[in-house]
This record gives sequence, structure tokens and C-alpha cells, in this order.
Amino acid sequence: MTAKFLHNYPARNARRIMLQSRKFFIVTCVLELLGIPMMIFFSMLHEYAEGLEQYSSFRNSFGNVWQYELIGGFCLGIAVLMGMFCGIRAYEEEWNKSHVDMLYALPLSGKQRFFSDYAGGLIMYLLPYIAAVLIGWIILLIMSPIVLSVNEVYRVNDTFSEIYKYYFLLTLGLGVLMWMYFSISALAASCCGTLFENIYTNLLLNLLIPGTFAAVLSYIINEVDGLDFEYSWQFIGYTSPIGGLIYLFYLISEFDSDFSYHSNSIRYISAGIRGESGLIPAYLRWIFVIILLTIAITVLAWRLYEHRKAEQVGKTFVYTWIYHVILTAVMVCILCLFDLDETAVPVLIFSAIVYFIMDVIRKRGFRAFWKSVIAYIATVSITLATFYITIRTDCFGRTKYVPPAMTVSSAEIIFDDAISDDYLTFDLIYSDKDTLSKLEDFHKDYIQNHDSRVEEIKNIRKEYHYTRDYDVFSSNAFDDYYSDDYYQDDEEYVYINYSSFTITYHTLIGTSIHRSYSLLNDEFLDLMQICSGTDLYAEAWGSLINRRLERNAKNEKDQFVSVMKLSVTYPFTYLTTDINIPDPKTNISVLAQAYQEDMKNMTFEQYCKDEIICWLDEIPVFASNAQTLNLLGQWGFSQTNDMAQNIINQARQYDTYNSKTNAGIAIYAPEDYRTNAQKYPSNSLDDIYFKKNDSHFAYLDAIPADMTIPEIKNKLPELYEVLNHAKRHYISTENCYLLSVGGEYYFIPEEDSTLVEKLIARDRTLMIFPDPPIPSGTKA
Amino acid sequence: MMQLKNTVKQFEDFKALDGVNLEIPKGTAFGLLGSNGAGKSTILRLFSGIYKPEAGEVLIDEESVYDNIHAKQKVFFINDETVQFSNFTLIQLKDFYKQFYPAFSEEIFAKLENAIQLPMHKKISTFSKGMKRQAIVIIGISCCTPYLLLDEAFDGLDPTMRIIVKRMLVDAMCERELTVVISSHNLKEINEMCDTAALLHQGKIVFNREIDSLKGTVHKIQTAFKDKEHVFTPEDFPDLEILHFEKTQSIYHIIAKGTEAEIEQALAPHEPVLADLIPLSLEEVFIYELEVLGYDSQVFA
Repeated sequence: MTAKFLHNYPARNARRIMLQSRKFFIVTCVLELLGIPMMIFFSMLHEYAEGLEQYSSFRNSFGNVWQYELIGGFCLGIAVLMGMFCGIRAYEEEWNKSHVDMLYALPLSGKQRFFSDYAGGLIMYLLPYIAAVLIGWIILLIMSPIVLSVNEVYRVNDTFSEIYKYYFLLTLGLGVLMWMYFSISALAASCCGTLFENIYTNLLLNLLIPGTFAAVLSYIINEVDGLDFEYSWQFIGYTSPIGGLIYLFYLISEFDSDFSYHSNSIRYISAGIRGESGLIPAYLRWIFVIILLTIAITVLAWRLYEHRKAEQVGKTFVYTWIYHVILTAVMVCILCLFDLDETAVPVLIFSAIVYFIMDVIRKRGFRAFWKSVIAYIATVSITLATFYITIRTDCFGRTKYVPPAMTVSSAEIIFDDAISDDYLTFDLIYSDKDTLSKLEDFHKDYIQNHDSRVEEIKNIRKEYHYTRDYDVFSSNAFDDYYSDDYYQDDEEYVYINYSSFTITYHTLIGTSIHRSYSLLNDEFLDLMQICSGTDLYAEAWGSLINRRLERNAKNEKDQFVSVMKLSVTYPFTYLTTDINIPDPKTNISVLAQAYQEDMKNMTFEQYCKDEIICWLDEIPVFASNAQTLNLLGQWGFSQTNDMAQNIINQARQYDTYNSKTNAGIAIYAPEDYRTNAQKYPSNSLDDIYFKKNDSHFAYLDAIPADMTIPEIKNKLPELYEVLNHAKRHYISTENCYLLSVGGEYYFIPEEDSTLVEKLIARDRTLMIFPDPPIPSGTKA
Repeated sequence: MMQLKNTVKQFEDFKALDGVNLEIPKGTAFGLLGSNGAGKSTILRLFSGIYKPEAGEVLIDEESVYDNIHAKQKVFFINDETVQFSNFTLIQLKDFYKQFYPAFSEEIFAKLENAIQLPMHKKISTFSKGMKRQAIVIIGISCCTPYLLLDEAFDGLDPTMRIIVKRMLVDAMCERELTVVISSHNLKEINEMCDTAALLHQGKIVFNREIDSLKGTVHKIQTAFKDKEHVFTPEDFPDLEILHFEKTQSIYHIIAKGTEAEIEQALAPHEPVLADLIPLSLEEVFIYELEVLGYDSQVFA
């Protein structure tokens, strides 16, 4: 059978291509054989040298061989680029007039000629690559035991199995992309009739498709709410070999380097990975689509080849539509990359120059120039009109579409936790109909009301000053009193705090709908009402604590230490205390389990109003997290329960670098301040807005610098009582008193309002400072 | 048999062949004559399956040749260029074509190669123009296809080599009933080699006849008439198909179609005192036929 194939005419034609291009073939072989094997060999040599004793002469000689790896990479890069020339050589009858008669007259059908040319070129291109990959395997398998014998890191982590896996995935992916690249060369050959246009089209097709995709994507995403560049850009991996290469490296390197640092709850949506076991499915999905696309490109090339005529050799573009596609893509790129609102005239002039240069190249002159002018105007007008319509209609309504819960199999939500300072990201996949239905309502509400909420906040901004959290870190309680640095009156610069949120619906018919939004605090809390108390949410916290602490519980050889020292941070002073966790391998899991249970039992009300007792590696421990606090107590953690003492210490902490000062106290009446959240006006999550009116303080005083805490307790009992009931973390729908001590903000819960009223009702003559300073951050 | 049936071939706005009908029987040596751009090479490329006709049919032994492997195997086309073979040696070229033409005869190749003595292992790019031609003609004959198409095949050959190549072709025709189609501007060669010729002009066939019959049917006539006062015009000879008519003093120079008897009969009513009839060479036929169609060298006079 094989012998028969090798002796049939198409096989003979393929052999003819290889024989005729043997010098070219030899160059490709040399480059390929230098590429991968050299990179693998010197990488392994480098790892071996790294594993040797510090002052080994071998290490000194071979510890830094990156230059050789670079040469290997360079050779591989050039060898990969040879795909274009392999395509050009294989389809010589498409552009070389003198070869047309000879090759078209051979007793081959058009189909046989096309596919035998294809096979000949592809073998010439891929055969050396396959050989190089196999040699790379041999080097890898021979040298890995040698490296393992000296390099402990590999031995401990069993990284070699990972390296084998990545080598296989990378080389297979690259091979498929090379096939795609060759197919694009075949397509370019079918469309063009000269060598110059062949190369020109080839380069532009490879660069412009991903380039235009990225340019249009960024342009539309900037203009339309809901689309996510990080998510959408993964499709660049399907646009061309270059895009595929970017995607392939991104997929593997990101998964490899970052995954171990994060929890399961942090996913790599931009690479299309789903969870720890997601690499292979994501890779297979990608490679499957690339193969399908390559076949489609090949079939298209064949159909075009079939319909072109022998006499069309020498024409610049046999199919002018490909020229117009390229030209339009160039115009789209130019129009997307510049801001048309600001630089319309220069952009149009520049695009016109590029257009006419390309037109002159195609026509080899100025024939029918007026037609080109009309074509240019039409191209630019259609492009701009398309942009305009797309943006005006929110991508033809797609971005506003929310799939009904009954059509959704699962919804994956990713959001930043607003109460954490570390922007912890959660990734939860819900598939129960109840939650899906709530998410649908939440999503619809966002689409309908988000813009009006933002407008409302902007209107509040006209009436109120605002302060940002970091004001409180100013060095002294009385500094920056008159400074306006932290707020802007210009509406354009209204600062609104958002937390990011993405939702991906996986529908029952297998499609995905992905949207990305910025949530206002109210919206974030609405989302938390859906998520808090769910098993998934609690599991994500448990998993996060497990992973984070485990990372710190291992030594450099990736082994658990016998006792782990853990820094616990107090929320007020940000001072830390160390606790010792024995047998961390077991106890971290116990702690994670306890925390997971606590989070599962915690109600939304508790989530909003429970004070945060401490932070474990940026993870908050709430007052209601009884199991967790109990374990921490067993390992040496002691809570500071005296809130007033905490607040005063916090205010005085900033005096460290200055002479002692009196800590200013201000209390705002409920009506006198607002947060940027409307639904939850008492909201510790975000910026606080104050009325511009100078007389808005309900109470103004200061704590003398030289007064001790017992003295304060005795001499100012009403104030001490108020401080003791203040809450740092407090989210409520009630508009309650707001307390500022030394520039730090606290909320007095609504049920404790009488304490404040009692303090205000005190005879003013009893106040220590009749005209006290106002704490920084409390802008008058 | 090779046939064109109402064949139209168009290159964008230019109609190279306009409804041409042509039949070339097996075993004939057929000459294609015509002005530049008349469509000679187009016909050869149509017969070899390179071009696809816009309309009509191109048949080899009753089979459409375009995209038909079986039909294409019966035809070997030698065009007027040799640059495409530059990277081959003669032996490589032989091996290449041998793969595609199963009837390829090593014996004939050896015999021809022996007669011409071309370097077998040197690249064809190092050959002279004539040697390149010889090389491809050897290959073409050795492929032993029933039909051999030659486009300006004798270009660059020295007189001796022309004779050798012609002999090769004639031998092949005799031995295996090879059909040879030659397109050439060199009418002498067509005259010598071909038994039938067709004249093409502006994509149409002007005539298609056996060369021998062609030779006897167009005559150059030098004549003078008894009535010297009367100035004769072509209209005075309605029975004659006149291609050229010229008067010098009392002598008339006429080129006309027809046999000797027909011409004499047509002249007789006007009482010629002198009637000298000379049969035209093929070259003269070519020139005068095209002159009638407006393709006249006198336009530059």
C-alpha cells in the first residue's frame, strides 16, 4: 500500500519538490537540529551545573550558558519562519511564470498537484522539526537522571515529570502551529501571482489577523461595558500562529509559575484554564480548534487553487478580495490604535497615505486612481460606521443579554473581596438553580441600574467632600488639616471605589457568555448576600487559608517545618504578634477546616457587622469565627477586647515620629455624611463623604496627649463608653453616627446612638478643648 | 485525434481564441502558423491541459484534456522556454519525467542522447540555448507520448542540429505514428516538416489545409492584356479570389487563389497577351493571406 502510494504521481510530485529544494531543505534541517536540541542540552547542562557544589569549576564554566540557549532559540525561530518559504517553494507554479507550463502540463489533476505540493512543502518543513523534537527527547531522557543526581530541587519536587509534560505540550503545540503557518503560506500562494505579493500577503496575514483582533477588541472593550479584555484576548490564540504561540506560552508558563501560589479560587480565565486539572482540557480544546482551523485554511487554499487559472501567474492578486481584506484590516488597525476624538484629521491623513501606498504597490502604478479614492472613502466610512453601530448598540445587544437561569448549566463568578486589603479573588462555580436564579436577577439589576447609581454618586460628590482611606495614614492627627490634596472638586475626577466582578455562564447547549463589571459597594454587598453562607464560598476561604499558610510552612526544600511561626496582625495598630503552630502539616488543615466551618456558619449580617479580630496573612478573622479564634488562642494568640483602648492606641500610634499631640475627635451626625454606597450608608468598605458645611460636626473634642487610658476612662466616661461601642468594620443600612479619632473612622451602631447623644448632651464647659482641632481626614 | 470544438479562450479583456474549430488527425505533422498573438501557443497550452477554455471543448482522443490525467499522459508539451529546467541535470530531468510518463523509453533516450552527445551530469543551466532545446526535445521524444507539441521548437538550434532534431521527429512519426504539432514563425521549417498547416489570425483560423494543396492553390500572376487603354481592377475578375492586385506600367501583378486552369479561365475573357503563373511559397501565402486580413507590412512603409 505504502509502496503503491510512493509510486503514484502525487507522491512523485512531492518528492520532486523536496529534490528541487534540497539546499533549502538542508538549511531548514540544520536550523531545526541546532534549535531544540541545543536549547534542551544547554538548559540541562545549566541545571546540572547549578546543582553542583558552590565553587565547582564545572559550575563556574557551565553555570551560565544562557547564550547557547539563546542561539538555540534563535535557530528555532528562524527555522519556524522558514514555513513561509517552504510554502512559496512548494507552490512555485503559482508565482513563477517559467514553471507554469512544466508543472501544469504534468499528468496530474489540479487536486493532486495542490495536495502533493502541500505534502512536499509540509514534509520539507516539519520533518526536520520532528527529528529535532525526538533528539530533544533523547537528550532530556539521558540527561535528566544526571541532573537529578545533583540537583535537589528537582529530586524533591519531582519536577522532571512536569518538564516532560511541558516539553511534550509545547513541542506538540508548536508543531501544530507550524502546520497552521504553512497552511497560511499555501493560502497566500493560492491568492497571489507574484513572489513579492506572496511574501507580503503571508506576513500581513500572520500579523494583521491577531493585530486587528487585538486592536478592535481593545477599542470596543474601552467603549462598551461588560466585555473583558483579559478573557476575550484568549481568542487571539485562534487567530494565527503568532497568536497561538502567545497563547501557548501564556497557558503553560502562567499555569506553571503562578498556580501553586494561589488558591483554587483564583483561576486563569485569560488562558481558558479551569482549575488545577484544567491545563490539559484547555490545551486540548485549543489544539483541537487550531487543527480544525488549519484544515479549514487548507481547504480554502485548495478551493482557491482549484479556481485560479494557469495564466493568472504574474498577477499581483489573483483574488482581489484578499487584498481588500488586508487593506481593510490595516485601516481598522490604524483607526483603532488612535483616539479619533482627539486626532481625527492626522489619523485620516495617515490612513490615506498607507492606503494609497498599498494601492500603488498592488497596481504597480496609478491606474484608475479615482477608484482608489472612492474605495478609501468607502472603507473608512464603513469601518467607522461599523464601530459606531457596534458601540451604540452595545455590540448588537449582546453585552446586555443575561441568559435565563433555566438555560444555564453553571455560572462561574470571580470577584475581589472588598473587605480584604489584599484584593483576594474568589472564583466560585454555581450550578444550583436557586443561586443561578439569584445571579440572573443580580446581573439584570446591575445592567439596569448601575449607570444610574454611578450618576447618583457623582451628584452626591457635588454636595459632599470625600476622603479616602489612606488619609488616615498621614503622619499626624493634626497634619494636613487644610490640605485639599486628597479630593477634587472637578466632577471629571470623581473617585469611586469599585471591586471587579466577572461572570461566565455555561449554557446547557455548551456555549459560554462571559462578562466583566466593576461593582459599587452596594452591588458588591448584594452579591455577597448571594454568596455568603454557601458551601462554595466557605470552601474557597478554607482552601485559601490552607494554601497560604502551607506556603509559609515549608522550608526551601519544600518540606514542612516542625513548628510554624505565624504572624497575626491586629486590625487597629497593624502591629503583629507571632504565634507558634505545632505540626503545621496537620494543624494548618485543622485551622483551614475550622475557618471553613466558621465562614459557612457566618450570616450575611455577621459578615457586615462583626468586628475583625485579626488578619492571618491578609485573611480576616471575624469575631464570630469561634472555632478559628479558639485554635489561634490555643497557639498563643490573645485578643484585645477593650475597643476604646484600641482606638486610642491607634490614634496615638501616629505620634511615634512626632512630639506627642492631642488626638482629635469628631462625631458626625447621621445626616451629615454619606458613603458612596446608597443602600448601605454606614459602610466601612469605602470612602466617606462629608458635607461641605462647616457646622456639621455633632461633637468636636480631643484626647490630651498626656492622659493615660485609665485617666480617660475616669475623667471622660461618656466618651470612653462611646469609644467602647465604636466599630471599625461596620456595614449597615442604618445611617448612624460616624466617629473620627485621630483621622481614623469608626461607626457607632444605631442601637448605641443614645451613648453619643448622651456625650453630646454633656455640658460643653466640661469639654477639655473648647475650640479643639479637627482630626486630619475629616475635611470641613 | 486532437480537437478543438468552438473553443474560446479569453485573457481578461483579450480574446485569444474566438470559437475555434480544429481537428488534428493522428499521425500528422501539423503546423500552426500565425501572426504574433494570433493564438498559436494558446492552442498548444489548451491541448496540453495547462489552460482551461472559457467555452467549447478541447479533446484528445475524444477525452477532455483539462484536469484529466489520462488524457494529459498522452501529450508532451515543449514550450519556448528552458529556464524551468535549469536546476536539473539531464539525467535528473529524465528521471523526473520518467516518473510521470509510463511509456518513457530508456532505449530511445539512450539512442538520442548518444546521437547528440549532451553532458548527462551537468546542470542544464550551464548548457547553451541550443543544447537546452536539444535536451528537452530528447526528453519529449523519449516520453513516447502519442502527441508531441512543440512551441518554437527549433529556436536556437544550429542548421545541423535542426536537421538532426527533425530527423528524430520524423523517425518517431514513422515508427509509432507520433502526432507532432509545431508552432513556429519559421515557415520554412513548417513547410519541410508538416503535412498540414493552419493559419491563425486574431484568435480565428484563416485556413487549415494540407500544405501541398495549399501550395498549388495560390498563385502569383504576371499578366498583360490586349486592351492596353483599359485600366483593369479586381472587379473585372469576379471569378477570382484576389489577395493582391498591383499594376506596373502595362503589367499586372496579381496574387489569387485557384488552380492554374481556374485562373487561366478567369483571365481568358480579357485576352491576356502574357500570363505567367508562379505557385506561391508557404511564406508568401502567409504574408498575402494576412495582408487581406489587414496584417500588412506596408503599414510601416
